[in-house]
This record gives sequence, C-alpha cells and structure tokens, in this order.
Amino acid sequence: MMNIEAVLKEKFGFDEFRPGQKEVIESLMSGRHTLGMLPTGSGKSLCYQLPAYLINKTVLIVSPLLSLMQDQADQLKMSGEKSVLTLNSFLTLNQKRSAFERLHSYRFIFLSPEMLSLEGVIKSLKSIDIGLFVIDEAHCISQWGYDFRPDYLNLGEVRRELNDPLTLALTATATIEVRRDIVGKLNLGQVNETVSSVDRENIGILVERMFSYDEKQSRVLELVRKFTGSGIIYFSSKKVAEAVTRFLQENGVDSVNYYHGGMEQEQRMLIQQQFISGQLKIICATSAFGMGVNKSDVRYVIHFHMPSTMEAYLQEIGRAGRDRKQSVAVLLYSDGDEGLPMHLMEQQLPTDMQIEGVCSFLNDSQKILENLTPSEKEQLSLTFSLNEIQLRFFTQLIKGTNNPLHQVAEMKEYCHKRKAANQGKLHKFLQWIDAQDCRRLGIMDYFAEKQQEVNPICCDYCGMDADKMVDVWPEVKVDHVNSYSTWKKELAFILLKKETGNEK
Amino acid sequence: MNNYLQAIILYAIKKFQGERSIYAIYHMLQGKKSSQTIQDAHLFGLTNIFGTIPRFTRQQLNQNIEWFLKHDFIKLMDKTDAYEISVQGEKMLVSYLENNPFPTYLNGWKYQNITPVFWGRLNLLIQTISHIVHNERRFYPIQQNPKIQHFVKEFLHTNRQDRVLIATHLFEELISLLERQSDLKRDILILKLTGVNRIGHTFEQIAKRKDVEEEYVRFMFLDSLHQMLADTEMSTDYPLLATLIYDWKRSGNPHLTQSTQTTLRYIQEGKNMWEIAEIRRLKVNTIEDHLVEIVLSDNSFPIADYVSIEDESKIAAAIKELGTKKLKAIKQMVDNKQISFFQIRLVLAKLGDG
Ligand SMILES: [Zn+2]
Repeated sequence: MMNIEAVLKEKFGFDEFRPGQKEVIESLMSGRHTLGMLPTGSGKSLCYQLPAYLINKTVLIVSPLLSLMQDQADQLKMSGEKSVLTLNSFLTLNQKRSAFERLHSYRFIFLSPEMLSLEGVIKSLKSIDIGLFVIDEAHCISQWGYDFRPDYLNLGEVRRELNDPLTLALTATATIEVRRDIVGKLNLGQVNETVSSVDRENIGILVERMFSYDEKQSRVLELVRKFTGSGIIYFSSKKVAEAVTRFLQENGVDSVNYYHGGMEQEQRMLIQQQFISGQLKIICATSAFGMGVNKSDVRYVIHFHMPSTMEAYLQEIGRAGRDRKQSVAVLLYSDGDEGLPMHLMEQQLPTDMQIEGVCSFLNDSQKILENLTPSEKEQLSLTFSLNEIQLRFFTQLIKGTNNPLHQVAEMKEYCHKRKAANQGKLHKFLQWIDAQDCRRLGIMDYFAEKQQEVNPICCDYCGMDADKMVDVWPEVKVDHVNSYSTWKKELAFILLKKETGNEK
Repeated sequence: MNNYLQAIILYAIKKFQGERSIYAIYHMLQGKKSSQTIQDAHLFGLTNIFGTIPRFTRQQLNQNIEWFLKHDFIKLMDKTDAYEISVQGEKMLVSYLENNPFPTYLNGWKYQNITPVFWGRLNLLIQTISHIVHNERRFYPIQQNPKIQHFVKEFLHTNRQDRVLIATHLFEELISLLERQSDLKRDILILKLTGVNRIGHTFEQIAKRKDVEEEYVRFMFLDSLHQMLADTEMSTDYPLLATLIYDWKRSGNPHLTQSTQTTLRYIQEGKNMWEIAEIRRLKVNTIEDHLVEIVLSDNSFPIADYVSIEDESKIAAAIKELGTKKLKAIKQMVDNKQISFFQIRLVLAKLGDG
C-alpha cells in the first residue's frame, strides 16, 4: 500500500494530518465502513479526497446543500483536480447527457440527494465502479438530528441498490443517538466510528446575560471595538441583522455589513468574498452564512440571538479560530430569547389542523398533490396558510395515489414526535445557558464526552470574560486597504501588471 | 418624492395615461414575457424600463401607490386599479428628474436577456485575467453560474494569445467605452468589478460611498451596461467585448422570446398560423401573440397575410381618430364583425410607439 503521508504531501501539500483525519483514512483503506465525526473546519473533506488517489475508483459524494457541494467541487478544482463532476438540477439536458456518458471517467462525483431519486441516475451509477460512497453532513438522515432532511432517508436504499459500496458517513456534530440512527438508517452493519472531541480548545466560551435589546446592541458595539480581527455576529432575524449593522455603522464601525438569505445571490457572494478576503471585517448574519465559508482567521463569533440547539451553536462558533489561534464565542442572552427559535421551530412543521385540512381537501377534490400546478399549490398554501417548508412537508410525505385521509393519523404522530424532539433540544440548550457550571464541560457532557485536561482559557463560569480575552488575543495583521483614486487607475490596477512597483 | 423607485413608478403611471391597471407596471418592471406586456411596452413607450427591476414585488408596488394617493400625486380612474398622474404629481416628477436625470441609454426591452449574461461574463473574465496577469492561480469565482463559468473557460481556451495582451486589450476597450460615460456611471461600474486583491462592492455599499440612493445606483449601473452594449453593437472598435455577446447577436432576432423565434422560423418556411399551431401543439392564440411580438420587434414585417390592406387602413384610421390604444374602443369604432382583436393588435404593433 502506498504511504498515505506521501499522498498527503504530494497531492495536498500538507506535512501532517489534522486530528481525526488519519484514523478515518486508515479505517477506510482497511475496507471498513466508517463514521467520522470531525469538528467543522478540521478538514473533513480530506477524509474522502485523499483515499480517492489510493483507491483509483470513483468517489461518490452526497451533500445536502447545493452551495456546499459547489464549494467543495470548486476547492478541488482550485487545487488542480480536473476530474470533478457536480450533478445538480441546474445542468442542461445536454450537459447531463454528456456527463452520464463519461460517468466512469470522473474521480469525484458530487450530487444532491434529490438527484438520486431521479429516474436513470441510479441506473447510470450502477454501471460504474464506485470505490467510496460518501455521505456528507450525515446527521441530516436522523429525525432526531437538528437538521433532518427527508431526502436523506432514501440513502439506505440507494446504498443497497449500488451493491453496498464502501461507505463513509461524515458529520461535525452528532450525539450518540444520532450516530446510532445514522448507522441504522444507512444499513451499515459493522462500522468503525472515529469520533473526535467536539471541544474546540482555542475558543473561549462566554455567555453574557442581558436585559434588553438596547443593552445587547450597545454590548455588541463594545465588543467589536474591543476585539480586533474578523468576526461574525449571528442573528435569527434578517431585520435585526440589518438594524444592528446600521447601528454599528452609525457608531463609527465602518467595516461591517449584513448577510442573509433574503439578499440577491450576487450581492451575497460579494459580501461573503469581501469577508473572506479581509476587505470586510464584521458580518451580521443569519444562519444562512457560514456553510462552506473557509476562513481560518475568524477571531470571534457573537450570538445576538441564541440558536435553537447545542449542535447549531457548536457549528456556528466552530467558524472561529480554524487557524487554532486563540478565539472567542460570546452568547448574549436575555430572558425570553427562546421565543424566537421556538416560533421558528413551530413554523417548520404543519399543525394538526393543517394536516387535516390539506388531506381532506385532496380527498374531496380527488387531486394528487404532485400533479398540482404552481398556482394550485399557491392557492392551497393560501387556504391553509402553509409556508414553503410546510408545503414541502406535504409534497414529500404524500406520495402517489394513496388515499391521503389514511395518512392523517400517521402524519400527526410524526409531527408531534418531531416537535417534541425539537423542543427537547431547545430545552437542553437553555439548561446549558442557565447552568451554574463550566460551559465546556456542559458541551462535552451533551455529547457524552469526558474532558482530558483543564483548559486555562475556558469560559465565563471558569473566570474568563471579554476583557481578559483581550489580554490573550493573538496578534492581528492589519491588512493594507486599497484606496480608490481614479477610475482609470483603478482599472489599470486590476488589469495591468505593474512594471515598476510599489509592490513589496 | 422619497426615492428613485417612486420616480420610476410615477413615470410609468404617467406613460400609461390611466389606460392600464397598476399591475401592468408591475409586469413591465419585472419584464414579464407575455404578449400583453411586450405590446404595452411599445404602445406606451416604456421599452426603456421593461424588465429593469426583476426583483420588484407587488407589495412594493402597492405601498408606493398608497403613498402617491395620500400625497395626491395620482388620481383613481373609473376603472379599478387604474390611475392617472395628477398635476401635482407631474410637477414633482419633473423636478425630481431634474436632480436625478433619467438614464438615457436604458433599453430594457432590447437588452433584458443579454444584460445579466454580459455582466456575468465581463465580471468573471476580468477577475480571471486579473489573477492570471498577477500570477495568482487560485481564486474563488465571483460568478457562480456554471454557464458563465463555462463561457469564460471556453473564451480563454479559444483566445490563446498572451494573457497580458488580452488584459491590455480589455483595458483599452473598457477605457474607450467608459470615457464616453458620466463620472458616476463609470465609478459605479469600476467599483462593481472584482480583481486581484479586491472584491467588488455591493450596490448598497456604492450608494453609501457616493451618497446617492441604492435604486439610483442600480439604474445607473444598468444604463452603463446598456450604453456599453449599444456601443459594442454599433462599432467595430471593440472586438474583444463583442465576443462576449457574439452568441446573442448570432441567435437572430435577439429580443424575441425563444418560442417566438421558433414560430418565426416556421413562418419563414411558409407555414400558416394553423399549421404552426398544429405542429407545435400550441393554441392558435399563442401563435397570434408570437406574430404580434414579431411585428413589434420589426414593423416592416409584412402583415398582409393576416389583415387585408383595406382592413388595415380602416383600423389605422380608427386608431388615429380615437387617439387611444384600447382594443375595445377601436373595435367598436371600425364596427366590422369580420375584424378581430388580433388584427387590431397587429396594426397597433405595426404603427409602433408614438
Ligand atoms: Zn469552563
């Protein structure tokens, strides 16, 4: 067998593995199905990229989000790998056809789970030699996970159809129950679990109790003045993200902008790239920001609003300090903040009344949900005040010509269970906020982990605070900001190579 | 007046003269590709703003209409949802546009489809070339659309010359084009660009920097692109930029919808409307819409196959006498059961703007 360190050096230019990577790769190379839990930003994707060069067969990667998928494919291409295919619904018929003809020639094939349910896709995939089947963000398969995606439920069946290929399930955050669920739903049988600690040692964890919106706002201003370097401030509301951005700007913080799902794609991309390049220092974002954002020197993450689960919280603070230098996470909490995530969770699933209403409408009108025209769907949403997610719930669960009335009880029970599970998670997270105990221990406890050694820069309970964080703050390089002179000079600066240089 | 969007809406209300409901404005700004909206764009002289705010919402429209009503800028007509600009509104509009001049090169109807494509390609090409010239191989493409990415890749593959040379040509063509534009317009365009060590600005950031409204920045940006498109189309001085719209120009009549282009091909093969409807499994109504669209884009297109010369002059006379573009009124006026709405629409289309 080829030396995996040699491949690491040759293909990726690294001298050593980051924690967890080598264990996962070795487990795969010994032919065992593997569940890898590696914290965000720890180089999860290397776990399937490196084996691809050893196995020399196609690696198939299922990824939940288009943007995430595109991002990983782009990064592979940027590092010089040409043999990458992303299969998504944006491809034209022609592009799809030609891709399918050359399917065997790709080293990496990325696809979204809904592509797998399209006719012909499985058949084509069966015709090629799949060396490794990767399920990214594997916790999405579990109804008890914090980000359940019904599309993922078919993956077990897909694996069977593809003849039980060697499988790698990857996730950043999964409790023991969720990990058990992943293995079961994927029908992995014997599996080797490589679980890294969820603890991010270089992130100080602070929770600060606030008493009003205004207090939070001024505290954010204080914090961003105190902290140097790049930071992300998370919000649950687009409106508040914009409002706090304005507040900061009005108070002299220039390099700040907001980012949320309501913005046009191009503007969103600009803000994201400005942040990554360091042109923009602070982002006020909703949870839409962060997936696939690879920036190693984010120094702080502030939560203006609390997320709804411990998993989401870890995911979000995990965007700080990927360069392993000292960083900090500050959660601002005031009583009643849980109302917002509670409300958002309610919105994710239909109520009993909506389930009854939609099912009897379909029964009375003898219509089939899948065949409704867009305007009929809009009408249905209006009649039963369904939001997009709720409507999708129905289109995913009511399939074919089965009498929908027979599914009412089952759907209601399913919704109750999921709502209860979500509320349970929120409740546990609130308990963590309220607990008079070490934050870090609390997090590890949630994932049934034991702490190895005491962290000197730990949490608010262990005596840290924002001021003390500043004392241990790493040195932040101040980027040179290009100032705009005239449009002609600016264009020359972009397009023409400088002959004589003010280049260093 | 509060903002530029309001000025645009009020401008459209003025142009419609109360003959269309406000939702016609919504469709116009969104650039709805229906024959009604395309015809309206021509009839009421609104081809410039056609499709210039694809993100425009009904809610935005309704809020602004309410605001206009409250300030007596518009008056309700007998018809529901149709409004006319008031004397007061007219005054406000004129003085507002004095300070914020209306974009002069805007041609949404002609460039609606190509504008985002042209910008996407230009944007990504500049970013790519900028990095290559500065020996930076790794960068994150600012344009995510796979078609745009594919185009730029192909472009660099076909144009194998020295990259520094391409950069110089690109630089020279852009300088020449932008020199013909206003200060504000070229600053906006340059600030939008992404290159080595700099990421483009958002419209909001540019607005703040230039101390103008965001919507105005967006319109001036469009105006800048449309002026570049017009100059590139007209002259042979911009060979490099012309290749960015080469496929669009080649695709025949570029402002026809895809489906209408297919119909046009069948007509040129000598098929009649009913045959085309049959072959394409479309309603004859739809083919009629296509025909009107064709005549709108080219009013020298012969319509004698669909309306006799005699009927044409009758209809034209009625239109002239009535001074309206309302189909019902025109039909009543010609008072001939044989003449269809379709024929009236064809003649209206042929008479064009004005
Ligand atoms: Zn602690």
